Amino acid sequence: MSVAVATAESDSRLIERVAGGDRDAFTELYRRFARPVLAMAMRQLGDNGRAEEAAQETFAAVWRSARSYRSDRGSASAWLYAVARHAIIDRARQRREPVVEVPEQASDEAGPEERAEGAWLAFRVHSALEKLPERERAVLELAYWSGLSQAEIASYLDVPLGTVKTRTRTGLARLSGLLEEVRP
Amino acid sequence: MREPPDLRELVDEDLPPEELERLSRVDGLLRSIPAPPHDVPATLTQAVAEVPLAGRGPRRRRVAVALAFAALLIAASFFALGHWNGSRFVTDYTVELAPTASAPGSAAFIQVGERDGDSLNVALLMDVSGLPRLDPGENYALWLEKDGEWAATCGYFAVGEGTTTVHMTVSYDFRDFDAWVVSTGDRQEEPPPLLQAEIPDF
Repeated sequence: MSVAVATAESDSRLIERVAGGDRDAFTELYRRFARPVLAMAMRQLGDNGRAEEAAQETFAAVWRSARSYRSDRGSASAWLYAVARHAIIDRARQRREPVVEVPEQASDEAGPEERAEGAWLAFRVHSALEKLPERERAVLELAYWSGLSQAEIASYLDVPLGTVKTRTRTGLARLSGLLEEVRP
Repeated sequence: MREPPDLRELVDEDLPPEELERLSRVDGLLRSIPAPPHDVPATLTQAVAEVPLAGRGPRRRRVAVALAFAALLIAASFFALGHWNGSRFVTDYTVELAPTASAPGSAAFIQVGERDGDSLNVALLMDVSGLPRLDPGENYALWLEKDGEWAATCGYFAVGEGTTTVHMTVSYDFRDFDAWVVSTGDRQEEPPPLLQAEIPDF
């Protein structure tokens, strides 16, 4: 099965529009990246309030420095990740505390490099999830992270079980297209 | 919390092997990462919505304002301290380097110091993170690009865990170059850029 990825405006193009002072592009960029940025900040700062502050500073920095982004020198996602990471580190430094890099997996063995790679992986997957149609994203998030069975998801969303499975399959296929270059 | 069911159960279909393999890769990715937050706090959305309202003037004007502000700070320092402490680092401006596809997840910020009026040297203070440690004897380099070439070297460095701060001093006029670049240090091998930033307009 092949699922076409919606031809939404690229992240790179949005950043270029933000560089030109386009507020609508800024709002769309926030819609796409707010949850991935917030997720990373919450994991690394371990405090919702400070994570929110770091996310706010991330988007303020995006607005201020969008002109420094060059699409030929890296992906938009990587640029946003770097901006967010710096804002999070800054927020951690203000308290003179080390950044708490919560491991992505339940392993005591993960070193700093593995944790950094895990954070980058999670950021990309979370960002890709934001590009799915809402009905597919909701089903995938419930299937993988809620602990609900598919029958319970069907009941919760008030749709037939077959619809849940179709949306799961379609969402996974669409994600596959969005994450072609990402390896687990 | 219960683990999600097996992929075949999730999609409930006899898929062709290649399709199953494709979905299995994404299934593995989703199982390997933590959940995103359920939603974004309204307070964050409201705060971010106000960001553009603060305005953003033309770049040259912003640079001029920043330089004027820096000059004001320096003047205030002179006034407050009564003398110039030569060992103090005063940031003129900061450059943010963006990671290339060769080093996703890396980040670097260079604080460019005030040019010394006598020697014309400029101190650089670079915070770099997300680059892997190299083997002993190998180094990263910060260099200046001109017309796509490695034109001038600012310094060589190694990295540790987390953020590494690197001190360098150079005497270049940065307006002569196109970009700041971080790569591995062997110039002869024309290493790919890992982090880059345009030289700002002055």
